[in-house]
Amino acid sequence: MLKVVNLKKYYGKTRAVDGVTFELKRKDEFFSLLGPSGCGKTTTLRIIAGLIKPDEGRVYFGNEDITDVPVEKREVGFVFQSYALFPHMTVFENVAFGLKLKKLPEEEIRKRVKEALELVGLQGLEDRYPRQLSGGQQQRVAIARAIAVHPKMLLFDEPLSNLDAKLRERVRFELVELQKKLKIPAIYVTHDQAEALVISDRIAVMNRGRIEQIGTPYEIYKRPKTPFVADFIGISNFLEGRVVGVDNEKGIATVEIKEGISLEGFLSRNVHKGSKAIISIRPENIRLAQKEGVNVVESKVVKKTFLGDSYDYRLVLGDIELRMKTGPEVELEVGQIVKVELKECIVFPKERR
Amino acid sequence: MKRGDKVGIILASLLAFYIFFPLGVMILESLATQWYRIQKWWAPEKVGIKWYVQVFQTPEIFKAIWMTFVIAITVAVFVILLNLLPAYVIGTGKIKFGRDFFETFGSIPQTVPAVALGVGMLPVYSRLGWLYTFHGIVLAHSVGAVPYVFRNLTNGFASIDPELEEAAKVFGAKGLTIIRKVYLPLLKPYLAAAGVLAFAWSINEFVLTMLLGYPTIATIAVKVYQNAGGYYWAPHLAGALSTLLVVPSLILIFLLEKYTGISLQRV
Ligand SMILES: Nc1ncnc2c1ncn2[C@@H]1O[C@H](COP(=O)(O)OP(=O)(O)OP(=O)(O)O)[C@@H](O)[C@H]1O
Ligand SMILES: [Mg+2]
Repeated sequence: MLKVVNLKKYYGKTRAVDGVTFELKRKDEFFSLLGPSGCGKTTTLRIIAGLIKPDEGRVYFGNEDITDVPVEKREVGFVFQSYALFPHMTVFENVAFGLKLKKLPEEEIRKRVKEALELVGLQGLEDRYPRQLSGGQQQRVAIARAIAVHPKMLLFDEPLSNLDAKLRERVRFELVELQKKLKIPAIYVTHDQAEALVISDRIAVMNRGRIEQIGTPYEIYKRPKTPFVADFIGISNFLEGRVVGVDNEKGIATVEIKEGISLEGFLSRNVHKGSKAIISIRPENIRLAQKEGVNVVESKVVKKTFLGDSYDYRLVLGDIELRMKTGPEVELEVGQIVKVELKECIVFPKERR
Repeated sequence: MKRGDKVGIILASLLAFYIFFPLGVMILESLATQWYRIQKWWAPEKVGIKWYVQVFQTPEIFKAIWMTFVIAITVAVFVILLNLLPAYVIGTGKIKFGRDFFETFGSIPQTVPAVALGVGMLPVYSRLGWLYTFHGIVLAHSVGAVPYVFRNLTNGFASIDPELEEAAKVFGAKGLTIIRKVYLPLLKPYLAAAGVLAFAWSINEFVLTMLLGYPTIATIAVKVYQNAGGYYWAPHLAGALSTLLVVPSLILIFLLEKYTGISLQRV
């Protein structure tokens, strides 16, 4: 299916894309590129679309090398980060733009435009000009324009960034449904990790022009391969320590974080006994414990914040601070000493930078 | 009302008078068919379009009018075509240099006295055999029109989001289709402004025409000069001709403001 191999694009000293490789597994995979601002998501997407020539690397679609196929022949549906609607055309004309170039019959064009506008909830606004629309409405026109052409692949550059939460959820759901119906691959660029988790079949987490990890939302969340991924997806506590035991068979390592306090965690990569390591724990994986046991420590509550559906507690363990998330029924008082179990710890080798 | 305000209004009126008085005299001259002799020397006794009729009935003057507009339109079209590609590559930022150069040095032909420019062109033209030719005059007029057109078109291209070209490509457009469906419609106001300015520049150009074109190429401006004392003393004909010179420019500028919202103050 769609495959990119070792894509590189440098702007002077800026390594916008620095060796990106991934392959979509299925014809109708919904694949996200997730990462912080400036990590090279847009550049990668534009290389796939054919809007930028990579300095190095190839792009394949099916079994064909399309690296040198010009953009207008690639038949992609692209939603630009800044919409790029034609200001001198009405909503209808914007959505119909690609269809007219394909010389489809008038009837068919009207039908497809109508379908696309209904999907994004913009029926009735056909005759407006982009400047007469709100930002969110413009963004939806851009989505409609991309899907109306029934492209060979859908490329989205943060297409929902300007929609309110309700609308975003609805359009997001319909995008996936449509994409599965059209049976075409979709690449979805976003810096919103929550969105990437719900929408994607798989996610590639990017950082500084490189891919840190590719995996299903579950894998990315539960088994981050690098501290960056653990930090970027959801919230994580990070502790530093020294490896005191490694069980490669079970994939578990024991790390001493303080004199006399050791934690067990899943290995993200190989670590050596005696080397420095980082442990990450998500706030919701810290639970109150009744009795002593593995990964059970005593700590003191120093801050309590009510978040409606949960509590956000700050605990201290000597000079280490931990965030704990509990259900709203767990009532602790500031100053209280509690036993907590740190579950699902992940152990990363500490890299020298 | 404050005293300062009153003074301001009076000054503004004087300025307006100062600007429009010559135009008024010119139009009056062109319409007056007979003037009072002694009293009321400043008022016409009879008015009519006699001089205009005469202008159009004098073959050489009629030819000059015709020539003026043909040259002006040719200049406008030529300069626009000449500038389209440079304005595109510079305006859209495809190349990063050039813009400042044209901004700074491009207006030299407009600010340097035309006589000096003409003196520079004369020997070249004579060598090339371009003296007294239509294309020679079109080229001479174009030199001064280039900065207006370049600036307008560059601004036009710069105002167009480069992603629009990319969007057009993504959805299957290329080359000519992109120009026709994206650039031209969005450039329209800038093209209009550029065209009007080049047109007006050419119509008003006198010195170079006189120097390089006369007698084969005689435009209205040249004829005005001749009738206003250069060769004969016929202020009424000069007035009628000048009006013919000014009115088209004024109408175009008015239409431009009205339909494209581009004010010539900005260009
Ligand atoms: N045309 C360009 N010229 C110079 N540098 C560029 C260019 N395009 C991108 N860059 C740089 O390359 C890096 C990656 O940019 P890119 O637009 O791909 O980031 P992104 O992940 O899409 O970020 P965002 O989430 O903010 O949209 C950035 O540091 C950016 O400044
Ligand atoms: Mg981006």
